[in-house]
Amino acid sequence: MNDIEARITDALREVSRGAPTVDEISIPTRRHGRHGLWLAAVAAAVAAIVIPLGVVFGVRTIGASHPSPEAPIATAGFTSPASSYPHSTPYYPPCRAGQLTGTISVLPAGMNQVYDYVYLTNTGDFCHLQGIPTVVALWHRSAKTSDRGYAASLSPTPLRSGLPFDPAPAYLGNGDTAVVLLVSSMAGCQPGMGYEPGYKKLSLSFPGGPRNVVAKVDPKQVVSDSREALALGCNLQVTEVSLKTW
Amino acid sequence: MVASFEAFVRERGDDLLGLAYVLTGQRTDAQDVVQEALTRALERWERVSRTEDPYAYLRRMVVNANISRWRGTLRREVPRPEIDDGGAVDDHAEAYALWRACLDLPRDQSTAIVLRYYEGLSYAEIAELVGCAEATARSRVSRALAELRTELEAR
Repeated sequence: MNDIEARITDALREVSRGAPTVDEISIPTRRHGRHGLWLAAVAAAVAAIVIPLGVVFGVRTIGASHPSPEAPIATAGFTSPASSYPHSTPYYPPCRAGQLTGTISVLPAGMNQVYDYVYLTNTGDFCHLQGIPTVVALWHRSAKTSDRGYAASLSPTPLRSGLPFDPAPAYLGNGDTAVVLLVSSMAGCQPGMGYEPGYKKLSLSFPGGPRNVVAKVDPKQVVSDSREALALGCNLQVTEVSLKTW
Repeated sequence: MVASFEAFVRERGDDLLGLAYVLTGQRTDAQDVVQEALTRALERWERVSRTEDPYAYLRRMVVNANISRWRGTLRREVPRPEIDDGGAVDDHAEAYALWRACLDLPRDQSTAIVLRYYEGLSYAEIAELVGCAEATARSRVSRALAELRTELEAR
């Protein structure tokens, strides 16, 4: 090995000392698969109950009157009574394709997070942002091994109380852009924790299977919302994420 | 044969993260790449664990995941990320400068360099891993070395 080769070897070994360790990531386990099924079952059960009720009680399904010319990329979502929406049509622009499911899983999301379950909702306050379809993550939780059971049994109902938004379906198609607020409730509820600026690869769970998206985390858009913190009883960081499917 | 997935991760997880970090230049990207590889490996662990070298299997997944990530980044015309050095540049300036120079090489060359000089693979192993001819792997390393040598001499 000549000098340049030796220097490269030494340099790479040296810098690799700054690499993260397995202690900084959660290790996937087979439990996730079972809980994934649980989650799907819960989502299906909720949809089976809520959507018919929505029909009966006048649920407003965002974008339902604007059928997409494209094949939907997802076909299930949560609905909520129309009366709960703080704003109406101008804040819910029709989207071109697909209905984003009420639940997304994020993997990985950073330190000590592997599987995060996020509820995406339309909200009156947020979905007119920048004139583009907007969804809001109602809930986002670090799902360490010990948390997965909780995450799997999560339903939107318990978290609606006290929060400034309600779950509702969002409609996104390939190439659409949405603004997503990730409400990050980290392990231990430490303040100031959340997504680091940059690009994160997310995997959204759709009925047809997972799909990848990239989320751009813009540090300038990071805000803290004490209302959510109060509602969930811990410190939260709300991070605004541009989300685009590919 | 590795006893379990968890045992493998405990035993070799840091090695994978080190490789991913050296390849990506970002701690968070390294975590993403390794997590993705581990998640996929877990789905087929019974088969993976029966291979002669499960680490080699995961290493390939990490390299491929990084290449896929990079290609996706190119499509979106996202600027190349800055090296996340954890503030260690001052202490090891030359090492980090050389690392940065490696990452600034064309991706196939920087991958070959990392596999050759960090993982210690032979040209044949590099070729097999990235799916090219051995001569191509050798050529990539040679061109990368020439570039890096020029870079060092210019300082």
